[in-house]
Amino acid sequence: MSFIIDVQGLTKVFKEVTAVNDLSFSVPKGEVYGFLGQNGAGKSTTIRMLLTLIQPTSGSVSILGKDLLHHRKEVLQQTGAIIEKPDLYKYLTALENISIMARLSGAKLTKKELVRQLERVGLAERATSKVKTFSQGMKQRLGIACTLVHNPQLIILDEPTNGLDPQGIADVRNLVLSLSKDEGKTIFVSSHLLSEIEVIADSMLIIDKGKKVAEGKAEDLLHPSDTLVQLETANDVQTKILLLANRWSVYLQDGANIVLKMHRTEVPALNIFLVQNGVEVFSLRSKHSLEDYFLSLTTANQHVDAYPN
Amino acid sequence: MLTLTRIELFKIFKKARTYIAFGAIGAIIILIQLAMYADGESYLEFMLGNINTAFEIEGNKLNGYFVFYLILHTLLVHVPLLICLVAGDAVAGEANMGTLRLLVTKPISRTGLILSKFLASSIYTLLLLTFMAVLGLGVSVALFGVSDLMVQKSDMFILLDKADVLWRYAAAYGFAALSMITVAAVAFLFSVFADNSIGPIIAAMSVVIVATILTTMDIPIFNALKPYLFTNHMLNWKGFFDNPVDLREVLKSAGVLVLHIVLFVSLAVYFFRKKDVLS
Repeated sequence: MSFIIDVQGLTKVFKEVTAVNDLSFSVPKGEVYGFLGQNGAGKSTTIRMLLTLIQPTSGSVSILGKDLLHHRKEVLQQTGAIIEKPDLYKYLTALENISIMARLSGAKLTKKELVRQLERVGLAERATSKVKTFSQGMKQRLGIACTLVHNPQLIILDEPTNGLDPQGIADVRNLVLSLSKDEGKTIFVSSHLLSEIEVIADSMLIIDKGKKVAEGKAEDLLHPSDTLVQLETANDVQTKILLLANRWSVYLQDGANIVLKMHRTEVPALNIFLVQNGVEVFSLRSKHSLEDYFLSLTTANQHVDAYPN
Repeated sequence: MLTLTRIELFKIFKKARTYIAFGAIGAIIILIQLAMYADGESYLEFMLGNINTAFEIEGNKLNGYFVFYLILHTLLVHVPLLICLVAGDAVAGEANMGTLRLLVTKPISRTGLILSKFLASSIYTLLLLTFMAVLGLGVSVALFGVSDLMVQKSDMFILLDKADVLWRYAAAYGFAALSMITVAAVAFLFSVFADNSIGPIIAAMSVVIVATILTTMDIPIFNALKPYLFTNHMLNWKGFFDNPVDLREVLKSAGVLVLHIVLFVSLAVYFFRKKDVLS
């Protein structure tokens, strides 16, 4: 399998904060690769290192088989990116913006070809309007048009649906899928929302506090052996004490009463344990989705020690 | 590099802020010309003082060359502040808009990017000075005609033949361009460190103002500093209106200004190449 991005031991330290810690991953060619993590997990820092905006403290990045440090120009010629939000020149028109981006990327396009690029994202009629008059969704679409104007092989999108309405989110999602399936482009897309990634990604990487916590095919991650069990009882405090005293691993999250992480086969045993100890259970729900898995991996800091001394 | 510079110039001249300086300069020049047209003779009388009683000066003293000299004298102190508006915005303004990260992810070298931005700021500076020269000299000559130029120095008046004036203005324009590009380089260097334009614009203006004060105050401790202050050398455009011109002194000052430009721009390139773009 050939990889478009190959990252080895990537680390970035800002003064005393390690934003990205020994991160390694590989992105296969032609895939939509999801990059997940909560806000502040190190996603944007990683992406900025992939795009040479930030210099890594250590580690190596190879894109399209070329070392990024030594072949920056060749790599960036084949890369298009939107980082966080598509900041464009608001005092210029859509056509002027895309024309500048094309020239900076080394693409020589005629005015007609540029308008066609705007047509692709539904902005041809607003080609001569200033960007300051655009809605957030229109700016996002123009940003995507600017990203694609030089026909890059690799597209990096950092939180591309931030601030978009449901229709805008659906448009971006469809565009990403179309670029991957119809045009064979590799797309590296980050988000803190798993619901966005799970519907488009072929593979994904989950990071937390700058470290990799999981990587693999989306379908493999969708069926983890662990599950989260959400409990609602008559007396949650006493139940929690009882569980901790009996070595059950309890998580706190999202205001849920009690959440336990366990192997699926242990769920019946938990049920029996609660009944035998006279706990009045209102509900016992096994949450088995990628969202739960994602949260279980990225909320480790909220884990209550199950074995207090 | 050429494409990058053209793009930078296109962006500069699409911004409303760019035209503030042209508007301000145009307004000052026209005001001075109107004032001279209305009451120039009284000003001349005041300037000449008792020289008028000791000597008889014939001819059109209040001519276009004289009015333009007066304009240059007034404006070349204030133009640096206007130049800071654009040069200070060159990198920091892009960081503020979020477009700097867009530029840095394009297949262009950081050195090329920063040099093209500086080149565009310098071209803007030259255009501003050209505008000043055309409006100042052109309209003054049209309004007041041409004659010999009388220039006041600290302890004397110099009278320059009208046929001997234009080349001096051309040379002074070249020297003033160098001075203003030095100011642009200072603002540009500050711009590399900031994520919004206000900081570098104010910082550069402050440097120019403080250094100008140190240059103009005749205090021994400041006098020792003067050879190292670019603002001290910036005033040497006036050297072209001496008779004869002390070319050695003028060239020395020009050299010092070039060295300052090279130093400030080299520092800007060095720091920009190392900069983590977080904006």
